[in-house]
Formats: sequence, C-alpha cells, structure tokens
Amino acid sequence: MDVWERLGIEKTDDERAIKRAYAKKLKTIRPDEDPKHFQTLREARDEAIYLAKYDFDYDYDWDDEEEASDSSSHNEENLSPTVEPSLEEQGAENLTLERALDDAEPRIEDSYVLTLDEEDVKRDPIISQSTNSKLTELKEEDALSEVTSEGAPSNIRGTSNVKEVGTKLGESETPPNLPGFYETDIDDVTYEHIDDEVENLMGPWSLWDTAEWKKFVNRVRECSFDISNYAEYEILSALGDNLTEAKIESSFKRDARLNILYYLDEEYGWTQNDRRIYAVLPSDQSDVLMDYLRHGEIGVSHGSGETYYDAFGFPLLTAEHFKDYLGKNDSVYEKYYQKSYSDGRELRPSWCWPGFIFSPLWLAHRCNDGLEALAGMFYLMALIVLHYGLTTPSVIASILGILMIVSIHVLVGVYGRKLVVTTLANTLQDLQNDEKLSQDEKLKKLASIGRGGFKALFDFIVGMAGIGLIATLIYRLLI
Amino acid sequence: MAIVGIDLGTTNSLVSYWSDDGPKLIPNALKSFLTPSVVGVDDQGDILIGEAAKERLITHPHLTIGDFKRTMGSEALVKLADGAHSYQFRPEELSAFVLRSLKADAEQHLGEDVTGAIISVPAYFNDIQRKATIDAGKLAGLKVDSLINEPTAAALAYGLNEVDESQFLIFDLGGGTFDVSILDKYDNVMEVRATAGDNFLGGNDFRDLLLETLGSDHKMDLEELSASDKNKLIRLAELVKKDLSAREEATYSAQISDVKLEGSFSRDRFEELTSSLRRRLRVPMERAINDATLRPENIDNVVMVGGASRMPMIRRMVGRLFQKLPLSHLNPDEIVALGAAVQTGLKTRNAALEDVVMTDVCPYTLGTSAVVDDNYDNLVIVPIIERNAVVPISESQQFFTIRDKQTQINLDIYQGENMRPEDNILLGDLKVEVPAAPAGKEGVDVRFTYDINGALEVEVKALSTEKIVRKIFKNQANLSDEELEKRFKALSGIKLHPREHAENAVLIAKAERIYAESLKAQRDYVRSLILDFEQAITDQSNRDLDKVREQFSQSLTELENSMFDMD
Ligand SMILES: Nc1ncnc2c1ncn2[C@@H]1O[C@H](COP(=O)(O)OP(=O)(O)OP(=O)(O)O)[C@@H](O)[C@H]1O
Repeated sequence: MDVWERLGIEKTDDERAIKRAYAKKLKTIRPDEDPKHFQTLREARDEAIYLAKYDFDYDYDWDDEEEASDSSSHNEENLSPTVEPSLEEQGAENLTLERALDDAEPRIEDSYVLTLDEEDVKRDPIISQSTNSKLTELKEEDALSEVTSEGAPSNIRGTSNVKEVGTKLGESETPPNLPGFYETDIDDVTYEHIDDEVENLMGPWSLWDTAEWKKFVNRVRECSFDISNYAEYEILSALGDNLTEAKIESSFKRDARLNILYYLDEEYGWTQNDRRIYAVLPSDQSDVLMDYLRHGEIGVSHGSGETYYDAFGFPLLTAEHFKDYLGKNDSVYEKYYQKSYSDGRELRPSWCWPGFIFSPLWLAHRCNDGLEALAGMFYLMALIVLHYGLTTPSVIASILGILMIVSIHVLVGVYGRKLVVTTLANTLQDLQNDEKLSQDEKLKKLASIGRGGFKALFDFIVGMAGIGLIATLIYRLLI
Repeated sequence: MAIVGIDLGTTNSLVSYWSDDGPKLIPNALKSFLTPSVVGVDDQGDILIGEAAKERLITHPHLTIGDFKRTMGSEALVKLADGAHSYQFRPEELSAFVLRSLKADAEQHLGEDVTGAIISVPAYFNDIQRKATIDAGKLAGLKVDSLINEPTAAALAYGLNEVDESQFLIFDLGGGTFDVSILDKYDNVMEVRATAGDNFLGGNDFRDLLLETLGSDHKMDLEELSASDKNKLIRLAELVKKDLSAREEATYSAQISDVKLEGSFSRDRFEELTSSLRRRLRVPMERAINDATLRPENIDNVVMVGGASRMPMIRRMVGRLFQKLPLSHLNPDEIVALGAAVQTGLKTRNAALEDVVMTDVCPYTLGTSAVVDDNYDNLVIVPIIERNAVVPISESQQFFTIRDKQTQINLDIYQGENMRPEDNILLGDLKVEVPAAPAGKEGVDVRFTYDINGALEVEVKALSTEKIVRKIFKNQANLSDEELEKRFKALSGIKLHPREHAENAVLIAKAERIYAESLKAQRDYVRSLILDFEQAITDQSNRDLDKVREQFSQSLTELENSMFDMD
C-alpha cells in the first residue's frame, strides 16, 4: 500500500488535496483511540506532501522561487538562517527594514477587518465567551482601556477609536498612524551592515566592548526575524573562530568578555537549545563555546559539596558557602566577592582593617590552613631581628625589623579579603576532591579553616612560644 | 457526573464546561471567573482560597502562599504556620486546594457531581511537572481525564470560530510562564505544528523588575523587609504595572512600615527596564517558527493570550515582529479555560464537535545517550522522538554493544535539546542483559512511545534473546501511589473555608489589609468598620446582612481609593 492508497487519493501535487484527504480519514481514525493507525496515516500524509513538493515537481516546470524557499526551510537541522537564499533573490543589499515595513503594509489592509461594532460593544464581556465569541482586533490602547478598570469595561470610547483607525486604515495609502506601533529607529539595519558590524565588534578578543555589543544586539533583536536570525548566524560563526584562540586565562579572574557571552546566550537562548550552535559551528568549536557558557550558568551547590568555576576559572561562590566558612552572614567578604565578580575583574586588593591590625592572629583565625604558620614564623623572625637591633643596638637591624613587621601588616591589610576568598575557593576544591570525608566532616573542616577561633589562637600562641623558646635556646647556646 | 475544564494558572485559576451553546466559564462564590491561585490558612485553621487568601498575603504572610505553580514537579515543601496552626504542603497539595475550590464552584453551578477534569498545563511543562499536575487532581478528588497544553487550548477556543483555513500563532504570556504554539486549521482539523516556550518567564517577572526598581528608588533593602512589607511592595508593583498598561504614567502612594512611598513611574521607564525580558520572548517564537518550517509571513494571525499580553509594549513588539496587528480578546486570561472546555466537549464526543479533530505535538526531544565514533568521550544524545513530532507517536532505534564480552546495556533516557547528555533532563534509566559477544554483535531495539497526555513509555528489546524490558517513567520527585493515597486522606481531613461565607471572608481580609496599610486615624475607623461587620454576621437576627455587607464593601472601596490614589 503506498502513501496515496493510504490516503485514499490519486497521486497529486496539490498539497491542499492531500490535507483534505488526511482530514477526511482523520475523522475515522482518532489519534487517541487508534494511535498506530493514526501514526501510519500521518506518516503517509507527510510523505505525500514531501513528494508533492520535491519529487513530483521534477516532472514539471517548477517555479524557482518556490524551490528556493522550500528547500531552505525544509531541513530543520540546516540552521544557517533561512533568509539566505531568498535574500539573494531580493537583492540583499537593498533590503532594509523600512522596505519590509512597506511591503507589509497592503497586507494589513487586507486582514484588518474590524469586527467590533456597536452592538458587540454594548454586550457584557461575558457574552463574548460563547461559541460565537469573536476575538476582536483592537487597537492596542483601546483594548487596554477596557481591561484596566477591573469591572465592566467602559468601551464605548474605545470603540469609536477603533472605528476611526479602521476607516483610516481602509482609506489611506500611507501606513496607518499607530503611534509607536511600527516605529523603529533601526531602519538602517541591512544585512551588509550586520556583516560589518559583527566584524568590528569581534575584533581582537581583547578589545571586546560590552556597551557596543549590547547596543548592537539590542538593535538587531528589535528587528524582524530575518535580520535577527542572520545576525545570530554571523555572530556564531565569528565566535567559533575567535574562541579557540582565547582559552581560559588565569584563575580567579573573570573576564568582561564572558559577560558578553552570557548576554548573547540570554538573548538567543543557546544553552537551552544548543543544537543551533552545533549546527552552525563544528563540534570542537561548539564544545568550547558551550564550555564558556555552561560553567557560569550551573547552579552552585551549597555546603562544600561542589564548587563550580566559570570558563575563566573564577570560582562561583554563594552566600551559603560564605556562611559555611565564616560561620555567620558576614556580608563584607561576600559583597567584596560579588563586586569583583560583577565587575568582571579579578579579585582586586581591598583594604581589610582587622587583617591590618591583627595580621598574624587574624590569619590564624580566618585562613587557618597553614599559611598562618608561615606568616607567624616570618613575624617571629621579624621580632627577633627587631629585638637584636634594639638590644645590640644596631640601627640597621632595628629598621629591618620594623620594616618586616610593617610589611606583613600592610600585606595582610591589602590582600586580606582576597585571601579569604581564595582560601575558601581552594579549600572547597580540595574538599570536593577528597572522597574519604563525609559531608559533615567536610563542613567541619571548612569551618575549622574559616573560623579557627580560640583553638586556632591557642595553637598559634603555643606554636609561637615553642618556636620562641627554641630560638632563645639556640641563641643562648651560640652566644 | 460532569467533566470540567480547568486552567490552573500561576496567578489565576478558572473552571469551565462545555454547554449546549459552546464553552462557558463558571463563576466562583464571589461571582468572578478568576480565582486567584493563592492558598492560606484562616484563623480557624481552615483553608482559604482565592481572593480572600490573596488579601491576606499582607496581613498574614506566614499563613498564605501564592505563585506555587512555579515549584510544581519539585519537592519543595511550603510551611504555613503561626502560633496556632501549622501545616506543611507540597506544591501538588496547594494546587489540590485550588482545584477543590474550583470543583465546589462547578458543582454548585452545574448542580451535579464533578468527577473528571481536563487541566491545562504550560506546553513546556516537562514530564515531571505534568505528573505533579495529575497528582494534584487526584488529591482534589478529581480524575484528570487528560492534560491539555495551554496554547493548544487557547487555539481551540480561538480556532473553533475561524471558518477558513488559516495558520496562526498563539502567544500566551501568563503570570509565570510563556508559551508559543503554531497551529494549522483546515477542514475541522486543528493541527499543532510546533510549540516552544519558557517556563520561567511571565508577567510576574515584569512585576519583579519593577519591584526592585521601586525598592531602590526609595532606598529600601528588599532583603531586609518583613514578609508582610514585602508583600505590600509586591502589591504596589503589581498595581503600578497594571496601571501602566492604561496610562503613560502611574502615580502611586503607599505606606510601608514607616516609609511613605510616593512618586510616579513612567511607561517609558518601565519599558526600558524590561527590554531584556521582552527580547527573551523572541527565542521561543523563533524556534516555533523554524520548527514549523514556516516563515513569519506565512502566519496569518497572531493571537494574544494570557493576562500579561495586555501590556502595550508586548503587543507592539509582536506587531513589529510579524508586521501585523495581533488579535486580542477582551479577556485574554479567560481563553485558555474556554479552550479546556472545548476539549472536554471533544473528549466526550459532544455532537456539536463531532467533526473536529485536534492533534498536538511533543514539545521537546526525547532520546537516549550513546557513544559515537567508538570514542568514549564522545557521549551524545541520540534523539528518538524529535521535538514537535505529532503525538501519539512511537519510534524506535537500534543500539549495539561497544565492548567485547559486554553483558549489559545501560540506557539513560533524556529530555532536552542539547547535544551533551549532562545538559539535558535525565528522566530515568533502563538496563538490559545481553549475551557476551564481540563488540557490536549484540544490540537492543529501543522503542519510545509518547501518548497524547505526555506520558512516555520506553521498551527495550534485546535483539538476540528477544528479552523485553519496559518502563513507564515515573520520576522520583513525584509521589508514589501509597504516598498519594496517604496524603489524599490527610488532605480530606482539612476543611476548606465554607463556600457560602466566601464573600464575608474576602471583605474582612480586605479590611484587615487596608488596616495594615493605613495610618492611625484611619485605622480606628477601619477597626470600627470591621467590628461592626463582624457583629452583624454573628447577630443571627439580622435580616439585612446583604445590605450591611454592601455598605461595608462600599466603605472599603472608598477608603482604598483614597489611599491608592493611582491617577
Ligand atoms: N492590565 C494588565 N497589564 C499588565 N499585566 C497584566 C494586566 N492584567 C493582568 N496582567 C498580568 O497577567 C498575569 C496573569 O495572567 P494569567 O491569569 O493569564 O496567568 P496565569 O494563567 O495565572 O499564569 P500561567 O499561564 O503562567 O500559569 C499577571 O502577571 C498579571 O500581572
């Protein structure tokens, strides 16, 4: 049984006839009752339509125009925008949005039939819910004037406006005067224009300018589907070449360019449907692009479970992470982190008073991961040198001792916040890779590093005292 | 024994039925078609639904909850508790309360038992969310005969009256979700060609942006606000948003804790603020058009549905994109419910709809993951049912072993449009034993069957042994049958606030809200109003309760008008 027999018609290239036959059969084969039959019927119809469009036509003189637009729209996966073929026919360079608007105008006249007449209006809106309910074409403002007062619409005023517009539409040659409706300030967007602009924006990877990108994308996204699709295609192909050159840079640095990629993603919905990307770009380039987009997008799980990094290796931390680490909602560090992140810059120095004043102690308390021991030893050495300078007495040693002490205070003051964030991120990563620890133990470990508290201080003082004692002994023995 | 259609919305829910002269909406106890999807616990520990609960969002923020449709399909528990009462509900249960109240309205109106319902869901709801919706129906004591996609329902309501054949696009922007469907109508066949959407984009997102801006305009830290103040601000933002649909400039004045908020917001500013949301609306439209293998100019009409489509900027954008004026109904938020009623008519084979057939599509791709090119790292999704395939559909594909002596084939079943498995939604997995043999010699035949309700069945058959493993997907996030039974019992024990008192409850809730929002002198006045009214209710002998109620309601409206002076 071939498709035509299934549909119960003669071979034809009339799509309408095929649909009619299908509709007729459908009345006897209900999709919900006889899914198998329905599927064969549907497949027969699809094939028949396909044959009618492509195969059948070979015997005839076919219309160039149809072929071009059909073949481009037939293949779903062929995602290079469907505008391309038809575009050439129309002379791409000249096609501006303005023209598109002009083209569309007669159609508006055709279809703009106002069905709202006086009688309809006087009816309660509930009546319009009966089977005969008409979806009325309204000028936007009129529809609104009716809905805003929650109760019964006072739509008499509205209608007269509709009528006015209606008659205007019918009579006038020029596009209807609908304020703001088709108004665009983007009439200059042409396909050629897009090519140039994308090339400009793309430039060297280091010169990406957020504001310029947004301006461009906002503009094309306000245009017709064709233009917007075309721009997407251009952007994607340019991105493909560009991305592979610029892989991840340093860690703890988030690049403004990534923000642009995220922005593009939000506009075009790539991460929701990445087949579009894979259709335009070869799969290695697509993978890189998706890497860039995905890693910033994934939700960050809470509590030393997993940390995520964006494509530039910047850890993605949440308030929960900070809370686990610091034991309270200390917004100082979190705000500092958020700011660095949204600035799209690296973690920049930011003054930390407690770090400056209590340097070694503060380190022991906040970054209790071994670093404080180093700092403590350095501090002790500084004290010894200072002591030596003062007792010998030696001016040079005294100054050196003071310098060493001041420098460690200043360093911790300047980098304190950055240190907290980096330690937190690093610890999270270590813990994440550690398979032996349970979730609870991980949280404990995290807490012990982030808020050493008294125990850290105690360890620190005992350690210092121990080292001091040994140093004194050696000193005594040597002298 | 009636079947009703239900639009279970993020912000509003409606119930409808198929009557001899077409689809009809059913009013609730307050004679309104829209029942706000808000659930609350009242002072007696009964459940309040709709308008009264909505009013109590401000006065009793911890006992009231709205917007729960967004969490459907998750296991998020909502706690409604204050000193006296404490409840915990899943999103299904909250929805079940709304359904129960709609069911009661319908029974009252139709004068017969309502046993079955067709519930509309966003087309882009996934498998898990759909099951949760069916469960909600069960918990409300309703047999959910089928689900219908919201834009499809809208299309049914609209297309039924379109005599000619035409292709049209339904643009459905509700409170929390956005859906687009393209339909082809000819010879009484309503064929959905493609569907796309965004489950997290709706009128409420526009409101939230406005909310943030209002907050920063008045130097308020939204995080620090109490729940009640936050709800006040949300209400204000909602009012301003709606007002901006009618005017160029909305003036507002409100009292939130000790701050008096006064100012105005222009439409231009609002439109500028929300431009990124507006552009997000394009993505699903573009995808639907591409999937339907159409070009924008082939679309004869664009039909605007959903309350948020009332915003002028939305209509303007759509008009610009399609270069034609979109069609809008006077009440765009009622169309989906009307369509659901049409579907009940279709389902019961109502004589008036004898000839009409509707076919829908599966809105997302379903497939399994497999290794390609014998490269273990190259794991990709192999689609078995492509998105926008007409349902019901059953498709199969063969897969082969990749290692020598492999004895088991694991199949992960995914839903989504991405190439790499991890970027899609994992629905579940299946394992099949195969005899040990050289790589590629053994294989399985995998068949996916997707029915009109959006349920997926996967059948895997080992090629050599003909052993069959079958699985209907039921996700972990969904309730098990026993659990469902248990919760049904528990819920049946909870009383809804009596329907015949609904009107009084709303008025009192509203008065309490106004009380909370007003200042000293006014407060005394409101309090005395409330007390008088409560007195009148308890006073059995009072025969003029209707009149008193009328007066009370009027005083409240006047008060409110003087407070929220919106022009
Ligand atoms: N005049 C108006 N101007 C702007 N927005 C409005 C207006 N009227 C209603 N809305 C918005 O419409 C939304 C509610 O629409 P609707 O009732 O269709 O949604 P729903 O069916 O509850 O949600 P969903 O379909 O997402 O589940 C709300 O966000 C509301 O703010």
